[in-house]
Amino acid sequence: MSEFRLRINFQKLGACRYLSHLDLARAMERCVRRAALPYAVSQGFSAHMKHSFSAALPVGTGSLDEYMDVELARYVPRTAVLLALREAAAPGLPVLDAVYVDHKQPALAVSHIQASYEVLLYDPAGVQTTALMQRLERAVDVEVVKKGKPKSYKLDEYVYRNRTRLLKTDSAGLTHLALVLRLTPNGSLRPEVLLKALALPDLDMEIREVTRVSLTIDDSNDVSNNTSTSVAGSKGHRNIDGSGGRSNAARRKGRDNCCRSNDSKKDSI
Amino acid sequence: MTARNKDSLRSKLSRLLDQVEKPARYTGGELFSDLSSNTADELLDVALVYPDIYDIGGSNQALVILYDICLRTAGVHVERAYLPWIDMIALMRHNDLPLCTLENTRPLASFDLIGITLPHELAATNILELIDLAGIALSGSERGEDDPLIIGGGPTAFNPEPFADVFDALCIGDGEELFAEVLGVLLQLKQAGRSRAEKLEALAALEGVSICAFRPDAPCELPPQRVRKRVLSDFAHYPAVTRPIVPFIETAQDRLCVEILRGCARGCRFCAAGMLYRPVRERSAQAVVRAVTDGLAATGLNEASLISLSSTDHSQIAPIIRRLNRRYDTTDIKISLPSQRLDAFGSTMAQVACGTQRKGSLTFAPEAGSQRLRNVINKNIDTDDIIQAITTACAAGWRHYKLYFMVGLPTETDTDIIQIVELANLVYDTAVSAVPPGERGQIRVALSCAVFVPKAHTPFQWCGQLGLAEVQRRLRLLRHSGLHKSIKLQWQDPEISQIEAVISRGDRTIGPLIRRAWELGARFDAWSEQFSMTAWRTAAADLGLSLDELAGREYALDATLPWDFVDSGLDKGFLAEEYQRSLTGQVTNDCTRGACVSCGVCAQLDTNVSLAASRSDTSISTGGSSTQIGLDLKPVDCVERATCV
Repeated sequence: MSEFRLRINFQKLGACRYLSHLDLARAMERCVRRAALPYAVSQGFSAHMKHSFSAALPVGTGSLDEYMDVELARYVPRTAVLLALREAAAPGLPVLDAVYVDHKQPALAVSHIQASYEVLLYDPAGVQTTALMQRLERAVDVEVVKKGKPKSYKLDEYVYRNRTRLLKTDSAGLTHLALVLRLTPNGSLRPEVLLKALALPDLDMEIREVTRVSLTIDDSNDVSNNTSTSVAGSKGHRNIDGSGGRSNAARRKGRDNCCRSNDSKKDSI
Repeated sequence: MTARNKDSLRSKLSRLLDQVEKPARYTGGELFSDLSSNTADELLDVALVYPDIYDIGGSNQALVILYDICLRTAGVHVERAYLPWIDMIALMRHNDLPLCTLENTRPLASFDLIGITLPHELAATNILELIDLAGIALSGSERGEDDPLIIGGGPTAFNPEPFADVFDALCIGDGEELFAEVLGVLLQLKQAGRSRAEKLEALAALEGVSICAFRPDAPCELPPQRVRKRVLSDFAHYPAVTRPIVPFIETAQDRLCVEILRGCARGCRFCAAGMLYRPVRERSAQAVVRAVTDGLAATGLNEASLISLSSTDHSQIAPIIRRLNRRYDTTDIKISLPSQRLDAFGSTMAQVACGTQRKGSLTFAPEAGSQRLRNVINKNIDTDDIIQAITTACAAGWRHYKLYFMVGLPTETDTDIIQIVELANLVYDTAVSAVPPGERGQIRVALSCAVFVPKAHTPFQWCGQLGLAEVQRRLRLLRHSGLHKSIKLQWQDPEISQIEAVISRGDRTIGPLIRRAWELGARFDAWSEQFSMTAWRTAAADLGLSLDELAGREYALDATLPWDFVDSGLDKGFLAEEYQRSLTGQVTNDCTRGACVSCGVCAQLDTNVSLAASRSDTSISTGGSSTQIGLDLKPVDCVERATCV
């Protein structure tokens, strides 16, 4: 039976950032059912929708760029699919786009992914942030306790250091930090885990909010060598939906109107 | 409340979310919740509250129905709140933050009306906790003009006395029409700028509303008032909610619930729901199928549950299931029946139940071990029926069984206890011999016992509960009567059941007891790991009361009962006769399948049993057993009902 893989691009906004990955998956499944798409159902005794998701977000982390793959049993024109999904979307989980992708494309879960985050730190004096930025630049590895066992992470394998940016300090005294991390099928570092580990033992960082801003597939297999300043179109990178580049600014715009222009690649951070 | 205050309250509360377990309990924003702020033409602000955490109350049907009514009532703005879990409560109290609604983070105290459902007696201390957390006076008499009216309803409201001090008013019976009338009255009086006392007086004029301050022994100038239960006059045509709020996190009922019938006339003598939800009324097959298909399309849920006190009793259950199965056959959508009776259990039912939950377990509630005692409680089955039921279920693929029994039923002897063990062993042996030899290892039988809690408005309302020491002795006897070693035995904490009994037949002295226990830290009493008997014992001692005496109190048949002023429609003579018949083991028939049993409800409340078709000639047995087996069968996630169906 031939199936059509639909890649849905959606967001996890506002209070929805407190949903667990399981809650999110169930909510998106329901969205697909409400949209009445002809989704494929697994064979076997306990039938379920055939789908997969991009790397799980922790409870508390929002996202402007999430993906869900759903297998459709028959082809429905993309415009009709998109219209139905947008209408069916739950508040807080708007659907931005939906495209058909080739089955030869790597599955969402097994790809190396470049994930950009925006982290909001409460640091009115700015002193802590400066120190933290220095550590982000210089540290060789961090030790993180996972399930009671200390585990060491080499920063060069997990952090695109030269893409770390201080974006701004807003009127509420929150420092906005851009952080780009590499998610691999074998492991990854969460931004808040990384920052808390770097802050030890003397910095007192209060992380107010973490948002995943974008996800791109990274086949370059090389974090340290990556000097690209733009996600869009850079060598070895492509957007998960295969459509070419799209910037974070366009995505933020997407947060407001739940849609985006096709020539968004002109925008830059 | 200014916009700025609201925002700061919201941001203060959201700052706590990173420190609590399951923060999504507190964030709302679900599909079909009304996220709008109240507009200029919405005059009456209503907050609907469930007295336990969101995980339990988020799918509560009472709130689903009442929320829907509010949305459909012009001039009413509605929001919801749930009691936070202990971690969040501690943080809120530490930071001096009040209980707020999910929709717009508004303090409960800023609403005109707070509606709290009373799902069971053990929610009593949670109700105090949530009112206090909202910063509202715990006693109705201490509330002022600017405070919300606090109105309760639900099955536990049928004995209002223990709650008299807390609630301003209680609604008795079906809420659909009554709550709409309450809203109408309050809208009108708020518009007219009337006082709190005038509002209560107007509510007192509605049939089904009990105003706590106006009650027989309350110091009040108004005459004592009898309160008559409300019955939804046309349940069959009352629209089912097809756009219920769809919670993001998993709740007690993580599925679309469609109430296919209301009431149960089987007449189990211990069962309050069976007595209080009379008469039996059914929705038509067409209405049920439409509610399911519309509801699933709107919500995107992957399961619809056909709920009621006894779903296989529906006269058209077979065509309903046939049509729904045909409709969802090749999809990932399941149809389930939460409570079935094995007398209607043929291969069709077995497949339906299996289609959804074969990996789960079936719960049977024989309630009593011996034939004699099953006759006493009017649950008439014999061992042959049980063997047949287990054999059918095994053939359909079920491997795990749960058996529910009660200990301490009226007239129970040690022989009855021993026969519980014998029956459980028989179920195990039957199941093992009914499956292929290679699958025998998969058979699991769990035996669950609860202490009998006598309830108001039942034939056992005059009976006391067994004392704790004797309960413990009988449970020991149960443990040592040769239960097969593969059968897992568990029992509900008898101390929790004692508190349930104290409240269920309590009079006005119980209100201060609940208050004192809450002051001493009692809350979440239905959660066994949170329950504190020490708090309740100390509270009773402080007030010079004895829990054993309160729970064990026996009333003479001609005594005035604390809940006598609530007219449930049941004739007190009928209940007394049922009690006397129970003592001699005489069973009483189900009026939907035989003659009227003169319970009084139809005559007293000017209503009628309303079936979609005749029950007797639409047997759903499909070539299998058509014997009458009085067992209940239900998937494991609905076991909370097992003891009362």
